[in-house]
Amino acid sequence: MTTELGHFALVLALMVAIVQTVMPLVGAHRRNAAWMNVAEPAAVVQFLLVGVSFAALVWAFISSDFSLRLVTLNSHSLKPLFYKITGVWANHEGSVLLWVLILTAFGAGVAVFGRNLPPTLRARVLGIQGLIGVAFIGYSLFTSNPFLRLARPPMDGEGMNPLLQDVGLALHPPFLYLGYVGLSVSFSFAIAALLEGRVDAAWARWVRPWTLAAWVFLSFGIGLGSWWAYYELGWGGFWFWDPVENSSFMPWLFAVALLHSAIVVEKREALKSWTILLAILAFGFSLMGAFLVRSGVLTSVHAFANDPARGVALLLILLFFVGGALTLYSFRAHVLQAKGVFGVVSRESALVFNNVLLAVSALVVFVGTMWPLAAELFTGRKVSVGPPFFDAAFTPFGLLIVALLPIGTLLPWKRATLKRAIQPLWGVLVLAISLGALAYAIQTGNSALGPIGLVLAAWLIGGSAIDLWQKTGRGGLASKLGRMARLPRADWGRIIAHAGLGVMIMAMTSLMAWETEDIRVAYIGEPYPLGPYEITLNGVEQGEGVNYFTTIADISISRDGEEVARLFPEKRVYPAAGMPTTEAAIATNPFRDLYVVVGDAQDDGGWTIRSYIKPMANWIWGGMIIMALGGIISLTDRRYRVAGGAVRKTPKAQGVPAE
Amino acid sequence: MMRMLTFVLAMVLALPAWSVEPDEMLDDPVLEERARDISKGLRCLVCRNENIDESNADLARDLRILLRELLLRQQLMKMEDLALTALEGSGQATDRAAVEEVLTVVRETLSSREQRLDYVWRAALEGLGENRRLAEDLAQQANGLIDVKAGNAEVVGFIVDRYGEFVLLKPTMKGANLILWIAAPVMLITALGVVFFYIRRRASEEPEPDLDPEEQARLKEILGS
Repeated sequence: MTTELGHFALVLALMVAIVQTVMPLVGAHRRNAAWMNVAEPAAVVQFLLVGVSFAALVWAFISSDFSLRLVTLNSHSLKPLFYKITGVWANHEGSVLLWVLILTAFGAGVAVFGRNLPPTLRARVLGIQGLIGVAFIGYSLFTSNPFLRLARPPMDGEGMNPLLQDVGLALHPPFLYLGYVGLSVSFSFAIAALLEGRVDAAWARWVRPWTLAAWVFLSFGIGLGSWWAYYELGWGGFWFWDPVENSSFMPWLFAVALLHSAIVVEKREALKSWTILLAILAFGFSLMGAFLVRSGVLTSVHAFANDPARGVALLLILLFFVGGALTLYSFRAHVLQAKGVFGVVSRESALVFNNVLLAVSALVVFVGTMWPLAAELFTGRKVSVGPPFFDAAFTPFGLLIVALLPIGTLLPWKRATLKRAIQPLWGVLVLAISLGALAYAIQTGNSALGPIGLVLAAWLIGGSAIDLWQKTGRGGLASKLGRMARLPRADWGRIIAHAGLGVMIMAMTSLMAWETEDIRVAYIGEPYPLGPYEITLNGVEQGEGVNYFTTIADISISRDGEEVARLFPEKRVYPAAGMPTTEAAIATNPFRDLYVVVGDAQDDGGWTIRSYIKPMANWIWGGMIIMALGGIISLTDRRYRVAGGAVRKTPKAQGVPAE
Repeated sequence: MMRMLTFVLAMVLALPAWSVEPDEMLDDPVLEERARDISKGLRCLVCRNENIDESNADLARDLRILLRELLLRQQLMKMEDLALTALEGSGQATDRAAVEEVLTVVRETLSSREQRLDYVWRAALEGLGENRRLAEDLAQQANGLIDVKAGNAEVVGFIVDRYGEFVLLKPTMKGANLILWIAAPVMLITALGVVFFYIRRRASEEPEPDLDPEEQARLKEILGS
């Protein structure tokens, strides 16, 4: 019953989405206020209907309703409640519905928070948002309907891929989708601006918080995925340049570029058409990611050919939105006139370079991701493009961006002199290089990676500190501290996010350069060394969990005779899926992770044990969180809140009194 | 009973090997490090974007073992050369006998048809008795003489001949692949060129008049000041 209700609500939502597309767009074109006003209630109702639909699906999973095909294929009555719920989106149909839910939530958000937008712009934004809704609700209903019933319900379900039965991975898709779909708002704003033929500082100010929010979510999503890979896949890698990862990384890079170029539009009214293009590309690459991941085209062209309906439909959606947007762009972009004039050396130029590097690096990732497909289609060669390629091709861009970043943040708008801007950074540069030299001198081995990473990290973090210092004026310490407290949140956000990037680079390079690894057959009660630590296998036990069997090793790690950690790595088998997983045991402190994995039993009574010292590992995600935190702080900046409040208090603004 | 059965079944299913296993690793640390290095650049052909060093698949294990065998062969052949050179330069009689014995063992290992060459060599070393030191010295000398880059390329080349270039995670720069490799610099240079002219133009343009009165009023409204 609830299932049919959900199904019906989804169909109804499609109808509402069609209304939300047609009426406001036509209304905005004809300046018909009544038609335009349909947009807001339609967006809210669409969200509520999809909400009902999603809730119905969640209920079917919770109550283990195996008459539903989707539940049978992806759930099991023995699964813990939490994973029954997350199982909703651990499959294609459910995740499409989650995507739609988030899409309509953003639409409703724009409708509710965008009351002070000019009426035509608001109607057009919501209309485009409605059009995206039509595409995806239609996609869900016609190719990936989650509400299909089975004629003969089985006694129990087939279970979920055990690798997915994990907190990190359970929360990974919602965050990722919040990011992908959040970029649809920037896209809608861009298309609406093209229709309006007008982009100004106010437009940039409206679009930026949405982009920022989407970027924060996307960062969390990517971070969660990488964290999951780190502890679950069994050797502690954090980034694999997998096509699926790349699919989320490309929109992320474009979102970062968009965030920065929108600042130029907001402050200086330049780079308008470029910003519009970036907004289109950012969402375009989100759709591309959805297509690549969902169609299976990257695993193999043949997997795609076997079940083409879904892939082709997504491809059509992608082509429709990106192709349509780019066509509109080519006709209308010339209407957008840049106003701000700036010198060759200026903050505007620095942000242009930032954009060039980010956009080109994203395209490099794109070319690398698509190359195996292109090569097979056009030359018949089967080639792989893996981490060694991306490391080689992407790293130079990363280096350049980081090298230029602190200088860029210190350049003033309009016109600057390089010499004066760099002045305060000399100290940081010297400090960074000496830190790198020190690391090079004391490290074992000759790798340049670790020291270079430290130089870059110190350069970024030091640069952010100088940025903060410069922002607080020339007075004494007391006046500086006072100014620091009153500094706009956007400035804090920038400084924190840039420093977070530094932390992340430091952690990633330290981990890659200075990891200690040991793989051996360990015997119970016979200690062996790992770096300065001593590892003892105390015993191995077999056990049983809710829906799995497990082998648990009991391992003590001591240093100078004192126990520092007692770890219980596991190896699990989920009979429902017949698949083994590793549960690495990790002892964390701020400077390193001790990472232990148990392997197979050997004939002579020993066990394969892999143990690693991973220096600074946690700061990879720490850095990501700091970056995202910078975004959140920036999001709370006064200028985003003031605009709304001011208008509500003074409906027709003529000589608004100061607050 | 049923429960017991599932448990047994579960244990059997747990059999796949987990990435590099201790029993695959070579005793010679120099060779083993080279093997790890190479295996990070080779794709497990049946997996999704995993290198053979990390993969749990049986095929990856076979490739890891093959790769190590090739490396060991390289070393043994170099040792053969070294032993022969040592024998040509007439040394003392006792030395000669020792070198000859090592040479025989090396040649026997090289011609062995056993599956695991590293096991054969380990057994041979143990059988050498007091001449083991000499063999290990020779092995070290061989490691010093082998050009690592060329040697690794030879091993990778052998595997590519067998499994196709799909096995390479870092594509070659040959043929159409060149497009892939030059894409980054070409795009960057193009973009920088465009940007250069754009910025030059923006810098030389006359500033346009600021907001018109209507826009100014609206801006004030938005800023609330």
